[in-house]
Parts: sequence; C-alpha cells; structure tokens
Amino acid sequence: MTIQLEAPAIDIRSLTKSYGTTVAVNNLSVAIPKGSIFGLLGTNGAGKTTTFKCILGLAQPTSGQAMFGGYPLRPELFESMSYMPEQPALYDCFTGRDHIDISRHSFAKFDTARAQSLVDLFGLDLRKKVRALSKGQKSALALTLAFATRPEILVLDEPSSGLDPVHQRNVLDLMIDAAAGGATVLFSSHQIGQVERAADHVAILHRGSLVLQGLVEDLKAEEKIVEATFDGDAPRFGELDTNPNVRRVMRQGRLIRAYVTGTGDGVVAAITAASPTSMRILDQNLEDIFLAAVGGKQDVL
Amino acid sequence: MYYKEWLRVRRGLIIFVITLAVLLTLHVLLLPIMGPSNNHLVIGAGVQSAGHAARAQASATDLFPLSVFFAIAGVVAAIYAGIYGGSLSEENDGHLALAWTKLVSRTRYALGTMSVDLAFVACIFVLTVLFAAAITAQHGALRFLTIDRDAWFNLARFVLLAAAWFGVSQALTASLKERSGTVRGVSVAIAAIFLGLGAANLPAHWGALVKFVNYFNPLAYATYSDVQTQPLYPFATWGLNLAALAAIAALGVTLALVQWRRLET
Repeated sequence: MTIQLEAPAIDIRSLTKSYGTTVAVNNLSVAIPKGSIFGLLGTNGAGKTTTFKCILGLAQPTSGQAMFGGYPLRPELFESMSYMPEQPALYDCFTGRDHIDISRHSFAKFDTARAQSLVDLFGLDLRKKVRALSKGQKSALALTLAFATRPEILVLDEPSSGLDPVHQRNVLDLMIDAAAGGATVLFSSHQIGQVERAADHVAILHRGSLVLQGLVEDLKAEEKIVEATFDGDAPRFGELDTNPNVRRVMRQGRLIRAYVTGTGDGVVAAITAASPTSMRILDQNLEDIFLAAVGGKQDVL
Repeated sequence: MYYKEWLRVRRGLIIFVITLAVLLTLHVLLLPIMGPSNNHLVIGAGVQSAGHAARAQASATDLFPLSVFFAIAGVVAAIYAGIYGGSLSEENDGHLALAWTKLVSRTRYALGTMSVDLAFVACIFVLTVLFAAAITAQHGALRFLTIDRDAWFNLARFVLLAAAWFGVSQALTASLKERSGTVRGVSVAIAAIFLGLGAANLPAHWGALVKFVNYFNPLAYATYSDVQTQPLYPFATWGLNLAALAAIAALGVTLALVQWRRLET
C-alpha cells in the first residue's frame, strides 16, 4: 500500500454529465498522479471528450468536479496547463506564425526556441494559413502550441489524429519526454498500441462509465486469457457466465477463450473438467484488456 | 492576451488604410481631368465653388458644417462596428477551447476583445474624418469648413452610434455559433425599416410602438441634416440622446457578456 502525500495532478471526483436523458459521463472518479502518462480509452461516444471538456470548464458538469493539484480550475492554471482538443481550435484565417505569436503573447512561459524545434520536428510551414493545412498539419500545429509552453499538465484529446506514423511516434516521444521532465499527461486515443507504449496508467470508459483503471503493468499482470481446444466444438460453460472474474468468453469452433481477472484458477478448473485436448494461460495485452472490458460477456465468433 | 483580436483588427486597419489611400490617389489623379469648372463640392446645403474669386466671395450659405464629417465617419464606423460586432460569436465557432484556456477570466477576455474592436472602430472613425478632410482640402474647400453649433454633440453622437451598433451586434450574436453574419445583416435591415417607419405617418398605436422600439434602435439616433430644424431624434435633448446611445452600447455589451460566459456545452 502506498500513501500519496501530494495531491494528484488531476483529481476527477464523481463527475457526471448529462445531455437531456443521455448520460455522457456517469459518476467518473479518477485520480491522475503527478508525472504520469494517463491514457483514457473508450469506444466512440464513451465520454472521453466530454470528460476533458468538463474538467477544463468547456462543458458544465451536471455534478462532480475536477481538482488540479488540490485546487479547482481557475484561469491562472492555464499558465502551466495545455489542452489540445480533438478538433484543433485554430483560426482558419491566420497563419501558423500568427498562432505561434498569439500563444507567445498569451503565455509568459511560451518557449519560442522550443516552438521552433517542434515546428522543425513536424515539418510545418508557418507561412500557410490554417485553412490551407491538412488535418495532420493542423494537429501538428496544435501540438506545437500545446508543448511550447512546457506545461506541467497536458490534456490531449486524440493527439495523433491525422498524423502519419512517423509523427505519431514523435507525439509519443514528446509525451514521454514531458513526463520524464515531471509533467503530467492525460490523453485519449483510439490507437491502443500507442497507449500501451506511452501510458503508465490507463482508464477505460464505456458508455460514460469507468469500467477499468490502473497501472498498465498491473492490469496486464492481473488480466489473463485461458485458452482451450477441444476435439469437437467447444462446449458452453454456464459457470463462466456467472463467474464475476470472467470478463468475456469467446468460442470459435473447437476453441474457447476466456478473458479473466486474476489467476483464473476457477476457470481453469471448470474447463479442465470438460477434458480439453490442450489448454494454456496467456498474458493479455492492452487491446485484449480493452476489448474484454467493453465487449459483451459472451462473444461467439 | 488579446493579440489574436489585435491581429484581426490590424488586418482590417491595413485594408481600410489601403482603400482610403487608393481612393485618395485616384481623386488626386482625376482632379485635373475634372477641370476647374467641375471642381466644386456639394455637402449638405453648402455649395463651394472652386476658384479664387468664388472662394473670396463665399457667403454664409457656402459654408459647410464640420458635423458632416462626423456624420460620414459615424456611418462608416457603424458599418465596421457591425462587421466586428461578431467577434465573440466567431470565438464560439470552434475556438472556445483556445479562448477559454487563457490566463484571464472569460469576462475579462471578452471585455478585452471587445475593447480592441471598439478601439478599431474609433480608428475607423478618425481615419474617415481625416479622409473626408483630405478630399475637401484637395478641392481647396477646407476654408469653407465651419464648426457648427452642434458639432461636438454630433461628434459624440456619431461615435456613440458606432459603439451602440457594436453593442447591438454583439448582443444579437454572442451566443451564436453560425449565421452571425446573417443575423447582423438582417438587424441592419430591421433597424432601417423601423427608422423609416418612425418618419411615416402611422396610426397612433402603431406609431407609439415604433417610437418605443426606436428608443433602442441606434439608427434612430443617426439622422442628420444641416438644414433640418426639427431632427427626428428619439429624445428631445442632446444629453438624453447621447445617454440613450451610451446605454444601448453598454446594455448590448453586457447582454453579450452574459451570453458568452455561458456557452458551455
């Protein structure tokens, strides 16, 4: 057991956001430690962007709140916090240079040399107006603005969206570098491989609710796959449906695969009783964990 | 903090100055072609003939009032006030994530943005007055310019007209994401219609309604004629008319602020 002496960089407390009868975020509580890279995963409409908007005051939460270093959001915090929305909020009529200048005049900590190095990294042409930039270039410009202030907290919504694989890798490196320097990074992504590479903490949202969170390594250690092969079609195991440690069961012909939390001993015993021809216990990767968390309990292929 | 708005108005200012410079140059080039016989300036009721003899014999009716400059500048500034009166709406059109993640409160950001816009409108007013003076000077007619009795009232009135129209435009559009330009354009038409209705001979109850609406219509305070003895201003005294325009401007800005601060989705 660890005792956290200092307040989390971001502490989301019982956050709920409803649009009419639709609950976009449902009672979400997540503490994001300082210096961590926290990946927020979820399917489309899971509530990731709404969560970001709520914690940054761009959307009014129905209930709950977010604290930053123990304090509620206030304008002064943006001196040490950067946000990159999913759709970069850039001004079409201005050039990249104009945007750099706007940020430079807005934030005392804006590092012009750092901005230039990021411009070089992404190969941006600052003379072009934003309306003439591709989606990836817009993302790159927004990332440049976000990282150029050397913020202590970075909130990045789909930061790799539209970027080519080389620049996607650059973004991951930037996040890792920022965290190595003590910054806290909260980001969302559909690319689970990237999250697995960069994030040390992860939370999975599904239909507005938190279904799983923790250290990536812990989750991977806790989550196993019990895979068994039978002579004929794999039988159905009723006890797997009722076992709370079983997140998901996949059956495909002679193969059955159970995604379990913990050691999976009970599952192994149940399957062994049905005399499989072979059985093995595998570690899950983050994609397996994600799919098990957001998928249905029974999934027959 | 308001550098973005400064970039926007700087661009507008550059375009405006270039336009005025081009017009002034064209005027200088065309002046000799027009010839001395055509070189006369008609402003308001005063007709100023070119030529030394004519100028030497200028009578009181040849003089034209300084207020004319202010009226022209007021109309031009009001047009720009309408255009730049959509600045908060433009922030709402996908840029709140930038505008609301600054180091200042939303109120301060919006006030700062609108202050920059209003300063720009004031510049447009001054430049237009200078342009009008330059054109007049090219005709050698500046000597006929006279500071009329209502000049300072008209200066304040037309400056406040632009400010009031700015406030109305902001109030009508601050909560809009799109169609801000349409709303501002339609509002000009509606204001002009009510201005016209105010001069029409309507049945009493309709007349009362139009009169009431025109208290809040900046254009109703914009009528100008240097020969009219009974101006159609909504209020009887200068002070009240100026106060009303200032109140419309302040009310518009306040309404815009209230809306813009609550744009969370």
